[in-house]
Amino acid sequence: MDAKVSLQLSGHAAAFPATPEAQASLRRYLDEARTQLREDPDGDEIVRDLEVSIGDRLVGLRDQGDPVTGTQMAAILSEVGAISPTRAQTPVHGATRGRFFCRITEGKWFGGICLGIAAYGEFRVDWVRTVVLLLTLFTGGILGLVYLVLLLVLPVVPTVREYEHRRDEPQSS
Amino acid sequence: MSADAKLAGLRRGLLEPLVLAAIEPKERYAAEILVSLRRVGFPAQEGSLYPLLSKLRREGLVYHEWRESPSGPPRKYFSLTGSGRRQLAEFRDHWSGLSRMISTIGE
Repeated sequence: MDAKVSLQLSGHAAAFPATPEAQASLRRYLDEARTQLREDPDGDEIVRDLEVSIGDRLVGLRDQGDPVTGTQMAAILSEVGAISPTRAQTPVHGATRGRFFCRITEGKWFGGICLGIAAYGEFRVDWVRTVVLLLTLFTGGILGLVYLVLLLVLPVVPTVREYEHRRDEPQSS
Repeated sequence: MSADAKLAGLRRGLLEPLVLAAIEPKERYAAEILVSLRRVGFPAQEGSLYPLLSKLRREGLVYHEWRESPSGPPRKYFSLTGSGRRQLAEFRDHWSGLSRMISTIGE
């Protein structure tokens, strides 16, 4: 009953006390917003702006001293409204981005490079890790250097699902 | 398709020119734009306004300046650029043409 978490929102220095339900629904909303805005070049900025205005609405509640409840959060989020992405150009169907090398954050051990290779070739990640580890040992660490370089150059993708999505989504012209 | 659904389609397209018109007389930040929209009977939400504003900025129709806010984080105040003003003027022309059409057709 007393479970309480604190929410950090862009632009607002002080945190907002909230219940776990409120936190969960906020997280769902923001995740959905990010998904909707995936193709928007200003997606990150728009999500930040949304956080700011959600925070603006939470300020009044915080001043009353009670943590934000799930119901209150749901009301605020429905006021802010679902994201309707603007489509400047319609994507051309047929051509997809195709496979690309990347680092994957979710489930990574170190830099997520082995996960990226596994996703690229649809290998099992534990095999990739074993092979990379063995090769590193046999090459006297040279692969370690390669790994560090890859760490710098490869793009980062949050999850394997997200990777598959980017791989298969139609390319916009 | 009910009349409501048809009107909803029409309204969706109106958001953009209305936003341009809302910041024509003076620079406004997002919450003020929403208030102006609500005042004329066109309620909209951040969820559709923010993506639209950043599209308008990319198209060079609006720009924003950061200003301190008396309470809370700094705000983006939006104004029209030259081409934003031109586009709004064109829209108004087009709109009065359309309403002339609908009121005079069949006379």
